Formats: sequence, structure tokens, C-alpha cells
Amino acid sequence: MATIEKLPQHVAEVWRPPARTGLWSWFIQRITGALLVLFIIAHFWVTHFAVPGEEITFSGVSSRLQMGFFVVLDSALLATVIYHGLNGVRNVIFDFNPGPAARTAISWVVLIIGLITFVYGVNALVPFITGSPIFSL
Amino acid sequence: MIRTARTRERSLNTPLWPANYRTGMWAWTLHRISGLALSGYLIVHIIVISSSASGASGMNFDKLLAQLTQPFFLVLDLLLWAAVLYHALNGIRVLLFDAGIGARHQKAVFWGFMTVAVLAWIGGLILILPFILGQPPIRN
Repeated sequence: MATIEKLPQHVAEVWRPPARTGLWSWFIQRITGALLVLFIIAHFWVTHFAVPGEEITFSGVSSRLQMGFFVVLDSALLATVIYHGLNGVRNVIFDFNPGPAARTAISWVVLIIGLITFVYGVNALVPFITGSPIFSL
Repeated sequence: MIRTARTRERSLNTPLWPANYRTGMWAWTLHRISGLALSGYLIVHIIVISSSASGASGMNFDKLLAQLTQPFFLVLDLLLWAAVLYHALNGIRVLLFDAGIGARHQKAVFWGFMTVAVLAWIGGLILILPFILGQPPIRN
């Protein structure tokens, strides 16, 4: 708070203490961002270019996902992109300066949405591997 | 801090007001907007693929893909490609600055990366345009 006097007048007039979103969330956002560049290139390559002229079909994806490596790759992409995307949305919301209670609530809501999305996303992979989903909704 | 009429009025003529944004502030704003758009796309992408693969949507995966390769969706894919390129390249720029590389030349770095983005987008356009025009390259 000591720095507030040093800020230019036009900034000091609208400045508030930054939301404490956490140094770890910032750091993981950087790591996942860097990973996503690699994962999305891989995702794009595997989906569209690995087999020239191949159309995307259930049987094609299915035979690829028989290989454990691609299940791990897709799950890793899923987890990474959900963290990065939802933590990014949380950062945007926090920039509008909700109060401490609201921040806690928002963090929990975002976490729960993330977990549901991950389970839902994994359930999208399962039919390609076993032929039928764990659940259907 | 209490926002008074005076500070509201004053705040219109500051670097925080969009009309006064310069390169870095636009880069940041567009990163936010493209990030929100990509998060929305992510949720839709997972729901659409998941519900078709699990049979919940009553549409199987192959039929869905036949729909998604119609010209309308391919044009949307070009928008997606633009958002991905912007967000990824500007994100790399942010990572470089956090690592202490290039921040002194942030405008040049921004326009350099945007040049790469535009070239990659044109590359994508060249690949996807035959499909939009209904003349896909011969398949085996």
C-alpha cells in the first residue's frame, strides 16, 4: 500500500489493491500457457495432418485411441486447457475487483466447473476406447 | 476509494480509457477478449464432441463431423484460428517479458509476432479455402 503515493495521479484515482489470485496460479497459468502451445500444435497435427487426406471418423479416432499414448496426450491437453481457460476467466473476473467473499465463492465455482468439464471431457474419450460411454447426458 | 463525479470525469482522459490505449494496452485487452472467446469455444467444443460420442445428442460422431466440415463452420474455424494465433503468440510475448527478454522493445516484438500470426493465418486460409469452396484436394 506504500506505493500508492508514488503512482501517477490518474492511476492513483482508480487504483485498488490487486486481487490476491495467488502467485502459484499466476505461475501455473504461465506453465500451462507454454504447454498449450505444444499440446495444441500436437492436437492439430494428429487430428488434421498426421494421416494425409484422412477424414476424421469415429473408427479413425477409435483406432488411434487404442494407443495409450494418445489417451494420455488428450487427457493432458484436456486438463491443461481447462485450467488455463477457467483460471483465465477467473483472472478477468477478479480484475473487476469483487470483494473477498465473492472471490472465494468465484474460485470455488470455477473449480467445480473445471472438475465437471474434465469428467465430461474424459467421458468423451471413453466411447472411442471401449465403444460405450461411462455415462450419457 | 470512493468514486466521485470528479474522478469519473477525470478518468475519461487517462491512459486507462480505451481511446488513449497504445500498443501494449490493446495487446492486453485483445488477449483478454480472445481468451474469453477461446474459453467459450473450449466448453462448446467439449460438449459437442462428448455428447455426439456418447450418443446423448442423438447425433453420432461421423454425422457431426460431416456437419462441422460444411463451409459455414469452416469460416468459423478461420475465426477460431485467428483467435488461437493471436492468443498464443501474444502469450509467448508475455512469457518472454516475464522472463526478462525483449520488454524494452515490446512494440517491435508485438508487431513481429503479429506478422507471424498473419502469415500463419494466411497459411491456414490457403489450406482451408478449397474445402470452403467445395473443391477439396484429391484424397486417397
